[in-house]
Amino acid sequence: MSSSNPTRLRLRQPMKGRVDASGLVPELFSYPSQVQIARMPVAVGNDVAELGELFEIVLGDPKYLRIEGDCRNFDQVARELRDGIVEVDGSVGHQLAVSMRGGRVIVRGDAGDQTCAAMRGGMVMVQGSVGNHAAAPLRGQTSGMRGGTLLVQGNAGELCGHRLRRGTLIVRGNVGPACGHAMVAGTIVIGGQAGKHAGEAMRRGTLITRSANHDRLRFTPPHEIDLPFLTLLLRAHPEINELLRPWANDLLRVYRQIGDKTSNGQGEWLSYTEAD
Amino acid sequence: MIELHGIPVEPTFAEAFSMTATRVIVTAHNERWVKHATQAMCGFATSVIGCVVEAGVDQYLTPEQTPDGRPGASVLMFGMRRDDVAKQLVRRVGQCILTCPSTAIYSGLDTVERIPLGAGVRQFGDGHQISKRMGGRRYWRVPVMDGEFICEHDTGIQKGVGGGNFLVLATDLHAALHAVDAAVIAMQEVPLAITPFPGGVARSGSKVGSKYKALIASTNEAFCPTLRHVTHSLLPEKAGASLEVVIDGLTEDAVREAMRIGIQAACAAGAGHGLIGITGGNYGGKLGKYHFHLAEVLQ
Repeated sequence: MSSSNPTRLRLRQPMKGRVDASGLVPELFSYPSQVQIARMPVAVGNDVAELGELFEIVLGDPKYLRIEGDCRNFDQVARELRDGIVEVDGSVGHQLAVSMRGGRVIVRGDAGDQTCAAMRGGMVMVQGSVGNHAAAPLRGQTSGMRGGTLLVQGNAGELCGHRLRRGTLIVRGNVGPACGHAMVAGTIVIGGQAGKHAGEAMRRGTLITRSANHDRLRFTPPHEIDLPFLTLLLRAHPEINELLRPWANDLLRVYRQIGDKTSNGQGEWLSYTEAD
Repeated sequence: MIELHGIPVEPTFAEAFSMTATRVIVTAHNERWVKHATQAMCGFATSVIGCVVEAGVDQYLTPEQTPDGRPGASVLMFGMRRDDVAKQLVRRVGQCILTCPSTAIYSGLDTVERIPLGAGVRQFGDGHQISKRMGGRRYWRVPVMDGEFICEHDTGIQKGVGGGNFLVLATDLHAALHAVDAAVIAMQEVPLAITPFPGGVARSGSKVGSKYKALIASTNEAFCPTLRHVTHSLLPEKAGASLEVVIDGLTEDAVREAMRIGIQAACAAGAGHGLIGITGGNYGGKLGKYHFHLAEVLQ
């Protein structure tokens, strides 16, 4: 990932309550002394603990943070991250990388709900699965992800890519119901099953799956066409190229459908086979 | 005075100007359609005097060198003002690239200052156009009759150098054409430089001003063989024809390199075939910011 020596946080013991980990971003570790860092307050349930009580801290490159241990109770890891690298060797809780603007996040485990909600930039890779509402809006907001890339190697829950505004969401496995619901722009690529109600109420944007959508009420019949813009997409995202490669010899030739017609939408559903 | 292949190169300089320049990459289904598109786009773009901009193909690109993996060409466009380049670019993309089957156009310059590319053409889609941001760049997909026209949102603009030149002096037109042909072919290999005139060559070398008020430039009688005895001629005694190779470049170094390659090729081809000498076009050094001394260029 990076040739430099990371700043390491080793979890001392699994936590029972929810931990607000929104402060765990690389900028924190540019503080001058390890003592100061260890005394940083962290909300644990209704209590407050010091960072040093939760983690064994080994300082390294302040732009490169590695968290080791099962952190599935840790919410909002890498919140509003702007720069640097955050790696988690294990699972994380809800709201991973919410409102993130730049940098890279790698999770070698699963992530909870609202992963990359309201994200604006950067790259997030989750090697396991993510919960519901990935790349969707935060509560009270109207837009989902606005930029950046979320790559999920496993599955995603319901309403992933809900109200997606820009950016790229790639799920190698299956997605739950209503993927891409009411999306406005951006690109969603689904490697497995698209789930029910996918693309419903979509206004714009691109949803790429293996099979065409057979809901004629919402989507136009598929027609085969060459789309040269896919070259740009595949070059910008080699992981999409790798995902789609087994589906067709010519990845630029796709079946294209427009929808959701019931919402006067002009979104596009691209697929490589007409069949279900 | 130095000599190349026995051809004297006069100890003078070529005078060039600061211009505003942009670079775009045009791609298409195959090389044939790339040439159709770029020829149309670079048409009527020989001189800023009457065409507002000067344009030409800098290099033809292989599929590995283009953003979408198809054959392409890099086009350079120069103007005196930023707005001139911006307006002409949108017009020429709209009328010559958008209209040409299978084409796409991308930014070829990553500078901070930007001018519209697809931003000015996207509305042809009448609301059906699609914006895509990929790899940190924004593209427009405009529906057209052969599928989609893809154009990047904007392209870079920067200062360039226009009007680099050298003059070929020969016994007759045949000999002059032989030398400049060799020069222009050799100069096509130089990146970031173009020769915007027909075939890369101008026969109408000009001086500033005219006896007619409406004209800002007129014939350079010092190099016209038919005026040898009625004006102050700068032609050698045996010269029956002279031609000017004009070069625009994104950088001073690109112009200098193109001049060097061009003069060497002209002398190599013209020696023994009627080439008499090489000189440079200048206005006494009062107008242009860049002075390319031929002796230094050839070092």
